[in-house]
Amino acid sequence: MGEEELHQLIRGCIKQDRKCQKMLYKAFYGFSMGICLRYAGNRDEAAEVMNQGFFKVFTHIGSFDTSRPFKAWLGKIMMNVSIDFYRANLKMAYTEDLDQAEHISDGDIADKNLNYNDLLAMVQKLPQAYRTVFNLFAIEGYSHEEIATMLNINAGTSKSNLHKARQKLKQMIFKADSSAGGGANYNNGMGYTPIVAIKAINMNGVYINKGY
Amino acid sequence: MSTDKEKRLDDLFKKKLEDPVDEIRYDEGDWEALEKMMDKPKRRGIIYLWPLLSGVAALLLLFLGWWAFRTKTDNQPTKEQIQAAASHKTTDTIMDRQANANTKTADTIVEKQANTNTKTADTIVEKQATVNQKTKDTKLEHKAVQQSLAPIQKAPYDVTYTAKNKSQKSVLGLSPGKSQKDTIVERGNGIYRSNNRADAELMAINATPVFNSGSIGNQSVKQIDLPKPAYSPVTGPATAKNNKVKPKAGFRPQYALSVVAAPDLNGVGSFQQSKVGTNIGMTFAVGVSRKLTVSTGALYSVKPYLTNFNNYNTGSGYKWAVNPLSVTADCRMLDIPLNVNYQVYHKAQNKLSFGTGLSSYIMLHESYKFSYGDNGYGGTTGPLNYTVPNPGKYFFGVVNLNATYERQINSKVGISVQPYMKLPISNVGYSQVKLQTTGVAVGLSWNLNSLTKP
Repeated sequence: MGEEELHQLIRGCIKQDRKCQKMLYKAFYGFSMGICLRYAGNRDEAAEVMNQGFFKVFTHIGSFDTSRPFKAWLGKIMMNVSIDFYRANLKMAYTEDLDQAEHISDGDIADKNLNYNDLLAMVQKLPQAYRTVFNLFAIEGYSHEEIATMLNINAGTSKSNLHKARQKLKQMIFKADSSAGGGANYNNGMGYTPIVAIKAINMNGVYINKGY
Repeated sequence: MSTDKEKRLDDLFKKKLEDPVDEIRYDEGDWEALEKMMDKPKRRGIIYLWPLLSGVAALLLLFLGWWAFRTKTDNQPTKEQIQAAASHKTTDTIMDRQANANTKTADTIVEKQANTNTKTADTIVEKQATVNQKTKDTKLEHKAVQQSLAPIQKAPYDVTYTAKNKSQKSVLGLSPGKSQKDTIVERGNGIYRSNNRADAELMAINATPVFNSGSIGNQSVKQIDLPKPAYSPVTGPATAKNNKVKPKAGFRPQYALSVVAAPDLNGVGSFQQSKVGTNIGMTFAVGVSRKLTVSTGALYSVKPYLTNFNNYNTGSGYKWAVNPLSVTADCRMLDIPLNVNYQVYHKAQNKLSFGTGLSSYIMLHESYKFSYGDNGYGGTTGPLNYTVPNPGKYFFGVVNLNATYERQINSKVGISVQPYMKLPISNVGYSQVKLQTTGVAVGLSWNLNSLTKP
């Protein structure tokens, strides 16, 4: 989408023009959904959070500074809405022991042929607090101090959560590797269905039990 | 795990998850969900509306409760009245009298036409004499009688009227004053009876003053008086509640001043013939505890109402030549309420309370218009209007029931909506009616607390 076209759409959205709103929604659906899916536990939750984000975008689009990049503004809104949506769970304590994960061999994870859906499913299976910190640190690029401020937690907690998130992800990657006999399509055919959530719960249970 | 490997793990996820536009399919259902969200009014949820809804529900309940109560007391006498009016005694005699009258008038009209005017004048003089004897307020009666003089003299119907009167006098053998009244009623009965049911009711209405006058000592007198005790139980709890309110020791009272405007419906006995009135004034409320508030004030009220003539009772000895069908009143008064409100809900800026109390009416202006309708006399046969020269004061004659929803705009100012009912426990006004009112008061209140701060 060209810059001029985007600004035209934004002007339409400021006038609450429903057609322009829909065009903007469609144009940035993939981008926004991509963010929300990473923070959400499943696709349905992600869609709900994304719509809340777009609702904010459409109601506050008048305050958007057109000299700045729209995508960054939109992305920030989606991230904030996602964090707010799960804020209540962010301080939840997780007691599972990750010692087992330390024994996993450090093979070259980059070699694993894991596609978007596989990796997304793994992130979604992380406990909320781990997932949020991992997203903010590894994907968005925030520092632990920034994350601590954003989530209203200690920087130490942020570090700890990131570490645990990585351990869990590593476990999942190698588990996928061993179960799929070579790794491809760890979560093949799962798609974005509510089933993801149920599976995620089961998986979490498995890991929690491992520690005892 | 080394930092390098951590970074590779992070990069793997970052690369694949950062901007996966191609991986995500657009779902129209999501847009529809968002559209729904955007189309919803901002004030979402029943929770926002519930204080108002419950207020309306409370008023409805009050109204329905009262209605159920009212219908019993109201219907009984009406039926009885109709029965009484339609019963064999009355109707038979009416028919007989009518027959007598018709045959006799045929003769007498011609013969006595010349004397008609003098005879009418005689009856009026007689009537005036009785009026003077019976009542102290002679001025008023003179006025009314004078008003009635003109139409009686001019109307050609008076020829038959007096002629009939005469004939009936002979049949009944009653005193002139009484027989005149009887004639009106019974003649009315005869005429209306021949038409339909609706007329039967009118007939009953017309018959009422006959019973009230006490000239016929039959059972209907008791039945007509029924509505009075029906209201009296309301007084008990209301005053009892009022007496309970005593400021708690150590509680700093909260004061609030409100400007109130209220359109309302006024009716006598029921709201079937209600008229819209207006009220405007100020109220002053003192919070005597966290939940209880006592309020008083003064409201200038314009209360027009329309009622059947049987509800109109001057209490004077004035005899109506012909009873009007209905009375339209224009009353302007100062309504001084004394209410107690109990708060049942308070969340954030929203409050809901229910209140009761008593109102005093200080009449400022009272005027009545009499409507005769097509009563068989072809038009007016009595006074058309009457203005009460010295309107009275009626203390604690009305019970107030209300539900108030209040929303605080800021710490000082609030707005309120108050559906209310005013039920009479005693007769009000020169016409001694049981005037009831229902309406919705809208108020703007000002919190005076800062003035009382130490």
